[in-house]
Amino acid sequence: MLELDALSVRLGRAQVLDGVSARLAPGQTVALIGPNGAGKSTLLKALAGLLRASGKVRLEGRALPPGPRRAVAYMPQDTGAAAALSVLEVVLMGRLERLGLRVDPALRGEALEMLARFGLGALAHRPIGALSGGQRQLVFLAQTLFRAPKVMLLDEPTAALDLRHQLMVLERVRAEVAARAAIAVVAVHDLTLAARFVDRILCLSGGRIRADGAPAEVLDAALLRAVYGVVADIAPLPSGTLVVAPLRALGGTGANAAGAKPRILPPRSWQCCASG
Amino acid sequence: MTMTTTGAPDAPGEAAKPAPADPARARALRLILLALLLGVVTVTDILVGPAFLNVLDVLQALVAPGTADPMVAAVVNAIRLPMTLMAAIVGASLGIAGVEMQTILGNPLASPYTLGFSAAAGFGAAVAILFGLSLPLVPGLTVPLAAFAAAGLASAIVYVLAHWRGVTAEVMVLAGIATLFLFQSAQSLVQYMAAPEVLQEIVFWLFGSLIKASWFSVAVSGAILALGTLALVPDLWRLTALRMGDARAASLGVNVPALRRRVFVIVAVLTAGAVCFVGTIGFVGLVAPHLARMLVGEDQRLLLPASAICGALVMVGASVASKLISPGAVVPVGIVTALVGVPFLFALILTGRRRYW
Repeated sequence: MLELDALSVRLGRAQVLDGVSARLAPGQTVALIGPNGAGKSTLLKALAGLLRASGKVRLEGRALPPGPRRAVAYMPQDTGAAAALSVLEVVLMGRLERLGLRVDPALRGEALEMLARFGLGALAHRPIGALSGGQRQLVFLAQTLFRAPKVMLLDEPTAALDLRHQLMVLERVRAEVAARAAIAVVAVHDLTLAARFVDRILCLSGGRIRADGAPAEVLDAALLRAVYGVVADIAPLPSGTLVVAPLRALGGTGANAAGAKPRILPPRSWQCCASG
Repeated sequence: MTMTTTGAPDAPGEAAKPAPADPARARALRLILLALLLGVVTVTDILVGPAFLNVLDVLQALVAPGTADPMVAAVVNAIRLPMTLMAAIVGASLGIAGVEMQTILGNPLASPYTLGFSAAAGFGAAVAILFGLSLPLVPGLTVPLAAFAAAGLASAIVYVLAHWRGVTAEVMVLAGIATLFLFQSAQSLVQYMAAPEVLQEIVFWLFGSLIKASWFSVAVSGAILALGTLALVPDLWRLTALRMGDARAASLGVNVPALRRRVFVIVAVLTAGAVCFVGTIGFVGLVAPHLARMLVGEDQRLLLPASAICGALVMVGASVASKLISPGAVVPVGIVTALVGVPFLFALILTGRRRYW
């Protein structure tokens, strides 16, 4: 069980996270949704121990110490990487603590196997800088899963991927979560994809949780209007999957046309500093 | 409608291709060839000199000193060997300092020069020469110690500023550049104040010359190089991880500020140990890491020794050139390092190694 208790982060004068509390059970894949600047990336970094936060984070009943945490793997949004590192080296570094002057052949074999699972076997010895953005994203996901963490924190892991690979990535994440009773928290913007793959959605806005529950409970037109400032159609397909189709943005003429005042927080100075 | 994917499809945009061969062996082979090339250049440097000694006599003095001409053996033992070894040690130290500086600052233009260590060493030496300082028991060590102490002062300034404002690459580069200009100005002031004959001595020191090498300087700089290298070994993978950026390295469990502090101190000591005896040597610390990276990639297990060898190669090559430019004389090696190193770099750029290794 991962417990967040009144987690708050202040960056300069801005309160980027404001008392976020939640309990995430093993085996759960949780989507973190919300508009840009809502605090999604900040929450993931705070959970990873990479940002100073007040409040408590407990994993399996034990408070996590500040600083990077072995049991928690965080995959940043940025996929930029040094040109001269090979794909295999990048994945191997997922288990940095096990690497020495000589790399254990068994560990190397495991890394190659992980790459093969993502269809990246042929790229193992290519420089990461020579790969496309989508390929790099898959490599970094392979690195994150290679750590075999109890908690995976993935910041927009499907952002640079085509449809097929978006599905593949989220299926792989779900499979890992199920196989190892891990917890995955995935920041996403594609709400249809989130509804298709996750057990639960946490909706953040202005650094606070605005909604928490199963996709069918959380995703409704009122929430999208209030949090994102959009008018959207939300419809279940025969397969049971929800489809979220944004129709128009509120604010300016859009908001007036809709005859509704969006409950969106005004832009804050920290939005340029804390993507999410 | 359900959406599923099966098996392990190809990566985006990647047609099924056979896996390329593991480049690890090729890279290791390049490292060995580089070491052999260094061996050849090192022997060449010992064979060449302003004394116009017979090459076979010098070889005999190297292989069997007991049977060699005593005069030749004395020149080889007291002058040529220390100079050549010092060139290799200084080059290796600056190569390692350069590659780690570029790694912790995430900046391809970083070198031991960037943070003002070399300028500070020059200032320390210039002050000692200007005021004719002399230590009681070891007068010959006054200038090197003053250079070492000033380089230590420069590193302390950068370290303290980074400690106060955050150990980030940006803060360290800015603090370093400020320190560089501070010590360059102070150095110019000392030169301005100096009498012509003292100024000549200062300028000669600043050129960087292997003439000052001795077995003592070889031992001290060699020990610093060995200890500095050993101190970096436990962090090699963490330094490799840092090449992916601070956030990603931190997400892998690297304490980035602590790593940066630790490596910064090692780089400062390596640079000070290299330049305090021979004077400010430029270019090697900038170019050697790039040559090494092009040949062996980013894995620090290979990149660290490759940078050391490339640094030594440029420095010893420059030493050979410095003796050949003007027969019968030795041009200060600091003047020649760029002349020797730039063609290396041009050749590698022009051969189209765009992706490195």
